[in-house]
Amino acid sequence: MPLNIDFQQVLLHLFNFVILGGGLYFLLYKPVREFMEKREKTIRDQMDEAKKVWEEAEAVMADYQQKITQVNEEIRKKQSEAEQRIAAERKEMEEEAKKAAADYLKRARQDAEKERSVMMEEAHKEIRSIAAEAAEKLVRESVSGVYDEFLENAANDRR
Amino acid sequence: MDPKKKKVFLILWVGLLILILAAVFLVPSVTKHESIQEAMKDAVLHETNRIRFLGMEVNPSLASDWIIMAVLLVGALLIRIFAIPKFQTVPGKFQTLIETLVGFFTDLAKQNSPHKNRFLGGYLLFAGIYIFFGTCFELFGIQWLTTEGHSIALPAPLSDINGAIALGCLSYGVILFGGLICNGLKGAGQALKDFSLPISMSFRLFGALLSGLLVTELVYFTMSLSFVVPVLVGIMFTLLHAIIQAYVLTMLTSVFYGEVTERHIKKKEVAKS
Repeated sequence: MPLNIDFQQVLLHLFNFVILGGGLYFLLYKPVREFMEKREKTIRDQMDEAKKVWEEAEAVMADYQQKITQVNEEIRKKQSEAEQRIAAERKEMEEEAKKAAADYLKRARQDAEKERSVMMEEAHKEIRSIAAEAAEKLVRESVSGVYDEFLENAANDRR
Repeated sequence: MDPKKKKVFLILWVGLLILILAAVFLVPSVTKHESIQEAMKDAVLHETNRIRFLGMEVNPSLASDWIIMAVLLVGALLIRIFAIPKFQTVPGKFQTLIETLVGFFTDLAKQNSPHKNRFLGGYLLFAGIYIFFGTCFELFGIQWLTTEGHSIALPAPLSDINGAIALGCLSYGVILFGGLICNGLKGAGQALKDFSLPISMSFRLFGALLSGLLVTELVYFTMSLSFVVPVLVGIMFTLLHAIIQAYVLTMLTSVFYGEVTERHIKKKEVAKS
């Protein structure tokens, strides 16, 4: 054979290579690759888990954010409603107060008028009674003089 | 360091170097049993320097193969028993090294072949580690006795054409097998179309590793080149082409594997989707 190629020796080399290849595959390559794949899987799982947790947290946060926005909106709405209601109530109360005051004033005026008329009546009555009394007194005084004069005249006549 | 101590250290160091250098020239060298031409020819053809194993006369690269195989398997076994069960989620230095190594070949397999890449990743790890350590093996210069009783330094196993052919054919076999499993006979046919692949893979490895071996052989054969030069040629070049060849073969294998295992979507399915 050219270059002294010897197939028996080629086969002997091949035999060694197969032993060495198998040995290195099972002793070194397979366990190390398995270890690396296992670690890669663990890390990937952890990363996936972290991503999942992160996404969940983001979803919860978004949910809370939405809720906060809703609550704020609701608070604003209720505040506005309350303000409107308060304003309306205030107006109503003011009107009621004004009306009550007017009624009260009217009633007071009426009462005062009534009282005045009663007092006037009483005063008239009193004046009338005083006048009557005074007149009676005057009359009585003048009548007693006249009567005495009559009686004297009558007595004189008889004489 | 104290300047005085530094001076003493430098004097001692240079003195030791001169002493060893003088010893090198004084001690008689063992007579070489072959010339440089013979040594280089034998590095390519393995005609004279052979070793005995189980009653067979084989090339020295097979002994290198056994040693590398034993070291790598024992190393892998020790890692499997002592290191892997203690692996942590946050890795330490050694764990990072192992994970980087496995991760590199896994990624290479995944990038080039999205389907059925687990087996390919394992094969690429084996091929990459084997080529790297196999090439670096020549740096150690482990001695072995030949059948003729001479001592030779064991070469890189892939600098032997038989070893290179075995690895090239095994890579091609993996590609063929992947095609057959993923796409049936069509995938196998697609792999068979690239029939030149095992030859190109084998000879690329053989050429690269042999050139390294020849240069190293040449450098160590000549006494005058044995100073400083081996640091560059022997270590840096070897390390560099160990990395390059490991990467080239694993990448080629993964690219071709990816091609034959690619799922062909029929026009009807495309229209449906």
